Amino acid sequence: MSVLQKPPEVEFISGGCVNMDRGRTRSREQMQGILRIVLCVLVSACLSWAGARESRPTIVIGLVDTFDPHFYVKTFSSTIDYLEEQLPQYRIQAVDIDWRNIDEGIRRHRPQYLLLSGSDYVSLIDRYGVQQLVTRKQNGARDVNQSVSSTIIALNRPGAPGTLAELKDRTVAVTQKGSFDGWLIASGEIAAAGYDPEHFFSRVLETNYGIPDVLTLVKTGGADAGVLATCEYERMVQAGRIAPDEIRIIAKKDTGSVGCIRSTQLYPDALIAALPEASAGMNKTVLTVLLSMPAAQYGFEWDIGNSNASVLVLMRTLKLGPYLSLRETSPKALFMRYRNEVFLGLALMAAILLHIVALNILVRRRTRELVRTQREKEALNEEAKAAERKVAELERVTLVAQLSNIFAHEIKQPVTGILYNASALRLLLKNKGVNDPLAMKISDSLVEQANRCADIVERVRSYARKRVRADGSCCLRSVIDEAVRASAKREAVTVVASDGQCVQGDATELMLLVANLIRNGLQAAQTAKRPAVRVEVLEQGEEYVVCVTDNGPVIADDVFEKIGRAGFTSKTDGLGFGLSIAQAIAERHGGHLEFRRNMAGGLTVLLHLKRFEGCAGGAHAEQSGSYRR
Amino acid sequence: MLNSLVRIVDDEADVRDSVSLFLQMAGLEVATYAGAREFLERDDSARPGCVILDVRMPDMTGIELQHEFGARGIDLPIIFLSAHGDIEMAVKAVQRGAVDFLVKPPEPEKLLELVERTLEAHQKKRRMDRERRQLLAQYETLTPAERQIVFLVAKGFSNATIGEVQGISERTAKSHRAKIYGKLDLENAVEASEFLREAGLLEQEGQPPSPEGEGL
Repeated sequence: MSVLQKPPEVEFISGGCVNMDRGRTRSREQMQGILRIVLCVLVSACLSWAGARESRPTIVIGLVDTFDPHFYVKTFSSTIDYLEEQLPQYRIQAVDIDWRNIDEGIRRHRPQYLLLSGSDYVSLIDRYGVQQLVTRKQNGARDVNQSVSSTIIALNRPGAPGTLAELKDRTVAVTQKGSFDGWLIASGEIAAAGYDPEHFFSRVLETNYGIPDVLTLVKTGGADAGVLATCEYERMVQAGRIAPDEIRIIAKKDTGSVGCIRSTQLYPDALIAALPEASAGMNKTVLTVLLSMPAAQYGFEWDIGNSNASVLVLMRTLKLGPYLSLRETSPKALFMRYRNEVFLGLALMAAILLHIVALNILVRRRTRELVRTQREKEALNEEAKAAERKVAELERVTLVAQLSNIFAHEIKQPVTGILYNASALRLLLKNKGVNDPLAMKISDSLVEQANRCADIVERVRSYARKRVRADGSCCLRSVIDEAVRASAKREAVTVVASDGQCVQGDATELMLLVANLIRNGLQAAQTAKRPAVRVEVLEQGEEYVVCVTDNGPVIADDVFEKIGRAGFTSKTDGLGFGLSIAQAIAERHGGHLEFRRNMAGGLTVLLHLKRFEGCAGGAHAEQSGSYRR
Repeated sequence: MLNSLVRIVDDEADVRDSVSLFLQMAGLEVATYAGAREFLERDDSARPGCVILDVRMPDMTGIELQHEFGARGIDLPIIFLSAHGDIEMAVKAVQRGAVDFLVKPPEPEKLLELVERTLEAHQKKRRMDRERRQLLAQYETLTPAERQIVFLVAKGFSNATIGEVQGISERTAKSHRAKIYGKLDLENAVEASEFLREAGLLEQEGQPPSPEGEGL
């Protein structure tokens, strides 16, 4: 049987002749042998007839084989034979369909009719639109809707299970898990008793209608219990395989409509259903033949079954067939079925989560960095602006001082002139002996007013005059660094100076001086492609020379002549006091400025300052402290 | 004896002319120069007097001119006149020998007084210089031996002591003394001491009068 079932390509028709002599023991094998002979004869007959009447339409009848060989021979083969006999105008073809893969069988063989168990039928109603034609009724069964059941057996001896509850976690032997009365009905009974049939037994052994069979397994202790199909127990007792009191029936019920011992409720037997492929005329013909099949001759008849409700209830309980979806609602089942998808989904979700988290972290970090950079930039800008403001303020103060110096110097000359002329006049009058009180008064007034004039000038000048700390000392490097920090485009300025190059004087004023030179340089160089100013400190004998070089355009002779004079500017927006202030500061520090034109263009301003050795490195005047951050 | 001459060196014509006019009215003889170089080229420093000197001038500053005086041996006293009162500069200028450092405009009377004082001092200095030069010229007429002995005489040593110190006889010492008295127009040891002091020789020779002098 297994040969017929397993390789699907071996069709029933061409199947068996080869292994004819292989039948070995007892009824099952004998039945198989008989079946094959019958089939071989039948097929050869069919073929010879087919040769003559090739145009006959074919009726394909598929067996969804969950039945025992006894059923196969007694019911299926008999029915096929009867149909062939009654319907010579048709070629009747019987095909075997694996119950585990009904879809494939149907697709492959395209049968018009199926012989199948009640459980398989209800499974196919929705999927294929199968229509029940006739239901098998065993002779002796009173109700066509209640004619099959399962019998659960165990060895009748102490310690063996006697009730359904005692079967829990025992082993059970069944013919086939797809068998309706061999397993499914028994499962339904277990479920009805409140257990999960899938996990009720510790192990379910399938004999697949082979050897040893269910009874043998129970008798030899290979299984604690066994499930027998309808009336099988009676057949075995009849065959002498079961001695009296050898076997006990578990959950035994009264015999009911069938008259056989049973452990379960009764269900409709196997049935023949039409697929939509079958034409209406054919259905009528086939149905008529089937209903007319004589019960006395075959031991059963095809009857009209009208209720599959009990089967549906069973299938729902077992979550099979149309209720397979119910099974899927349990989380475990869902998980088992979709675990790959679930794992994939979880992995995807994890990946997405990881991605989101990573993205968030990245975004947060980037944002933080950006904010920090922005703040640093702002702080730097703020610092540069503050330094620029301070320098501008200092410059204004110095400019005012310088201007008032210039003013005072210039105004004092004529004031001196007036004073001395008036005094000369007085002496002249006195010399000439003129003793006119009015003339004396006028000349006195002139002297007095000129003196007052001089006083005012001196006072104004002293307001603006800054106290110069000529006694302090400062390090040129820090002075230059401060000056660079105060300039607008500090990145364009290169500084070459070392620590410990010190001069005597006021750090703030010197810073202002250098800042002025750098700014002048940057402005002169702004037309260059890459404006650059280089500040370098050279040591020449007794002095340091701070060289500020720019890469501005070549300077014309007449312009160079005027550089450094008060009021001169080559810029459109300058007052022209930058260099004159620088000069004034340099002179106040006992130094001077020197200007040199560069061959390649641009100007070098050299600030000569006397070296001062007495300074501790880096300890430069507290005035520069205000420039530090 | 030459009259004093006041020199005014200032690039400002207003100052130069007015100060000049004032001092002239006060009866002084004045020469004006518009710059240090003009002064150096044209002035006759042989005439006594003084220089009223502006500090800030274009070609050569007053301070630089003061240095130049030292280099050229010009002994004219300097009164600095500056538009800016730079204390440090003033102190340095005075340390180098300037009479005073005045901020423009100085009070005319004060200036006049200072100038007159300076002129008088310079006249005296010139006179003393001249006298010293005459004394030195007399001193130059002495022989090397007499030059040594005149210091001993000025210290009041007797001829015998001088002879002992110089390793000569008393008679020779007496003869030297007579010649010295004749050449230097002296009559006694006190006058010899005075002569040497006035000629500035005592300090130069580094021979201060001995505390244990016997002749006095």
